[in-house]
Amino acid sequence: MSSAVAERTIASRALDFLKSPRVWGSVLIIAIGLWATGFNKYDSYVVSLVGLYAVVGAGLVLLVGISGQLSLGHAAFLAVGAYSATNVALHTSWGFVGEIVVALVVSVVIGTLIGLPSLRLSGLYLAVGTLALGYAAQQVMYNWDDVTGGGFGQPASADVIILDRKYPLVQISAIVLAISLVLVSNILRGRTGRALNAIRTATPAAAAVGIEVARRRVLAFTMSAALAAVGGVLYAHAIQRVTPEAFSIDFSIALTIMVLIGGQRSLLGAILGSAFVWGLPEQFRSIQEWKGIVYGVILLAIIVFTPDGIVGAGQKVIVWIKQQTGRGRKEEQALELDIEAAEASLEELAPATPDALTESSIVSAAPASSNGHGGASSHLALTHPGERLVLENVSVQYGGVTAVDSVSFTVEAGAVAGLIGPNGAGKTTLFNAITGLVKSTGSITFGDQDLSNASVGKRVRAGFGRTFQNLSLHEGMTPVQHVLIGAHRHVKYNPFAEMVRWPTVAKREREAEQMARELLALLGLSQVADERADLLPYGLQKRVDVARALASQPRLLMLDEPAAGLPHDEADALLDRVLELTSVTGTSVIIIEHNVELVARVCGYVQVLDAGTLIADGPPESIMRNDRVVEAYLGA
Amino acid sequence: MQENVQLLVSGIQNGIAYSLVGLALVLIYKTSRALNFAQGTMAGFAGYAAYELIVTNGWPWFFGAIGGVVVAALLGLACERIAIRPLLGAPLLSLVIATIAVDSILANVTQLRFGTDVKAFPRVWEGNDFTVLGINVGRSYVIIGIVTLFILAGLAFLLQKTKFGIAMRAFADDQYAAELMGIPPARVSRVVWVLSLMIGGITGILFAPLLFLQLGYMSGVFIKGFTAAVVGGFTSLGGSVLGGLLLGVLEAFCIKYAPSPQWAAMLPLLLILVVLLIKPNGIFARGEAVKRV
Repeated sequence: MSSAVAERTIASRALDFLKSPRVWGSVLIIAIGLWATGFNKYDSYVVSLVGLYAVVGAGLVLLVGISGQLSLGHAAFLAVGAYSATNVALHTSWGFVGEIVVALVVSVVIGTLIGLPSLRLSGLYLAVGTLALGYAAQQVMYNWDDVTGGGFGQPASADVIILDRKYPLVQISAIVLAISLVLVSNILRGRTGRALNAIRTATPAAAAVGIEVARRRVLAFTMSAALAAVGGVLYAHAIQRVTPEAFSIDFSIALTIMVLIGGQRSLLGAILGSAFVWGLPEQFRSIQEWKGIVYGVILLAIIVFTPDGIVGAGQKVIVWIKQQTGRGRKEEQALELDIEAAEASLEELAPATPDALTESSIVSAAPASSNGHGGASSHLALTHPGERLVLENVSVQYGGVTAVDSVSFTVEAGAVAGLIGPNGAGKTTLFNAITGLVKSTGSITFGDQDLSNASVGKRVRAGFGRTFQNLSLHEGMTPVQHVLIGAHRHVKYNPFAEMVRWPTVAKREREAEQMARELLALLGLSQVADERADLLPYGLQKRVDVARALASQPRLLMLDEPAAGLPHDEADALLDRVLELTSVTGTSVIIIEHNVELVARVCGYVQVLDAGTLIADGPPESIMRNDRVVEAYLGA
Repeated sequence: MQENVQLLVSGIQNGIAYSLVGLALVLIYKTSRALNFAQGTMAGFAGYAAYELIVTNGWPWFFGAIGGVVVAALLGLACERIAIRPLLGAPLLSLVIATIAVDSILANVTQLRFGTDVKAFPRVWEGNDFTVLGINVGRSYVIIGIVTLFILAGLAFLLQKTKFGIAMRAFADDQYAAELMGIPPARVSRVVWVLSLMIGGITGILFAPLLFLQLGYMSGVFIKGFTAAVVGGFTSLGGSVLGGLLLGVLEAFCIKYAPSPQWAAMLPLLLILVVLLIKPNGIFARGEAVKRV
């Protein structure tokens, strides 16, 4: 499959480039901008508005749709841009470029300052907090006469001046929109977008592969603030007088509603939403009296019938047409075949020899080249040998309940340890304590690092990786994307290069995807690599969870009930495959499992937890004969 | 001293409105996990309806007010059926947007039906304010205070003593488990919306004579009621009542002592921000929910 990528000719790449929506979309937008220059003043004003609100919308897609943070105060950032424009025009001769730069700088600073505390909030409280900020910002505008001109406002020119030349706003709007969309779409398909999607859909799982949850969320907030400010600069030129009155809470709410109407996870949605919310009402001035009713009814219909907005409705229609013409049905059948093939494939692959594995490009016992420029995809390979994990008196308290009580044990480097115990014994809680998802007392050391009080991120960097009992998959994402999420820490590039999709970024992404497909092939998932993971059968979902953990290249892999819910032979095959991979690299492994026979077969050492305390540890043979263990399991 | 006591009393008088709106919002949030952005407009609509019955149709004040509350209850029922029920289980954002849509529709209907001019709503108990120990107490507020106490007592009785109230609390705690225990979610949701809007309607009518009937006359009160609910932790009924009173009192002192009137206007929002940053679960919230992974 890798050869197909390599053999692509320059011609086919050029064709792909032209076929990409980023390219023809931008061309189309700029063409509309040029065309609209010839419209009458009012119509071209409306087109400019739709364009500038789509810029704001692109930021809100990133924030609301992708990162899952709700803001009801973004009019404040639009105001930052608008007042940057008026002040730069009043006090300097920098022109439009200066206005944009000032707007970006101010909005990034303010956006970060506001984004940081808002991290503490989620859902309802974030909405309320941003609403309050939006309102407070408006009051500041009314009172800060020097900068805003108070309630009277400040004038802005209709013309956009770049290097002493005047350009019509509608053209500039179109160009700015095209640039913004390309930048945001690059972010969305790069590691930043992937990380934000991962955080939104399963936050603990994202943290467990080393995604910096807090930093990414603030980043999303800041980027959306910057885009809103850029929209604000254009807005000032469009309305020509900037007054605080405009930046009301209602305006903020309308901005967020715009992306919901269009489709909150799609940039096309930002454009359609903008056209719908700001363009359409201008066309229906005759029903001004009924505006609220018409708007409300349509909004309600969209929210109730198509949660993904106009774009979602469009997609549904396309699927429906395909089904009617028979093409859809074929696809469904094809998927069923894929799944059958995938379910069968693991057993076929099971007796792979260690030699075959070491030959595979993603598994190598040799340390990766440290500078990251090593050949092929070696730096993405599973190369990290394990270290010695030592737990001493680790305890976890939930309120008054002691879930884990003074547990001490050691897992040697490269060893496979089992953690067994009845339901409620505290096994998963202990995993959560080791990975830092819950607070614990006592000491946890890994190799020579003391991780007792370390953050989740630091523990991931030390080499902790895990699977989840409830799988914690990312809704709507494919197995390939799951693996790339897992590899987040290892697929790195400069964020500015990411925005412009610099060739090195594209190359890195291609390599990472190739690695992902190879890893999925080793777990028998190639047939379904591009299907929605959360819609796959349970057994395959489990493998996706394991693949994500493996992709994070752990030194210590923690598997939480890898066999639960699987038929015996499938569970055996999956675990054997994982242990083959980890034995090549010498990764340490801890397995939580109820299936004692399975544990006895694969683990060299077993710890037994009961009611939060360690009641036995030792080689499986001695554990099986231990009276206390038998008692805990069977009840005396 | 006396001046400050007077501020305290005036603050509490205004705070009652915020408390009632907060109470109505929390009631809905607790059970249908929705935030009713149309609450203010719906309460205002009830005020207009009562005005029409009392002034235009010549009904006695009390019956007109009851009529207005019934209209509010019907609005609640309609909103629940049209905008909330189809979205049961949807994310909060969708529910918020749905109520914003209802708000937009209803505000438009209000304008078409009742016009844009300001109307004076007749007082239930005409006459001068009372003076107790040199403290001025508005005549209307005596009525408002009594009605509020009745509402709180009734609500407490309903939630603590009746079978349906217990079902509601179970539902608020865990919708899924409650459903398994045979509590019909649709009915709980419906009743809660009716109750919430009855409180909203009463608020809209009681405060109509003081605020004058005009388009959006309840929207300021709505924002402050919202603040009250946040300060109270958004899931605590008692908390939102205390939050409303606290806000009213703070506002009264701010208007008197703040350097500019804008500061007084910003107060509710500043209060929200401070509360959210220091205690994200509200001043009166008890304990934190343990997150499960």
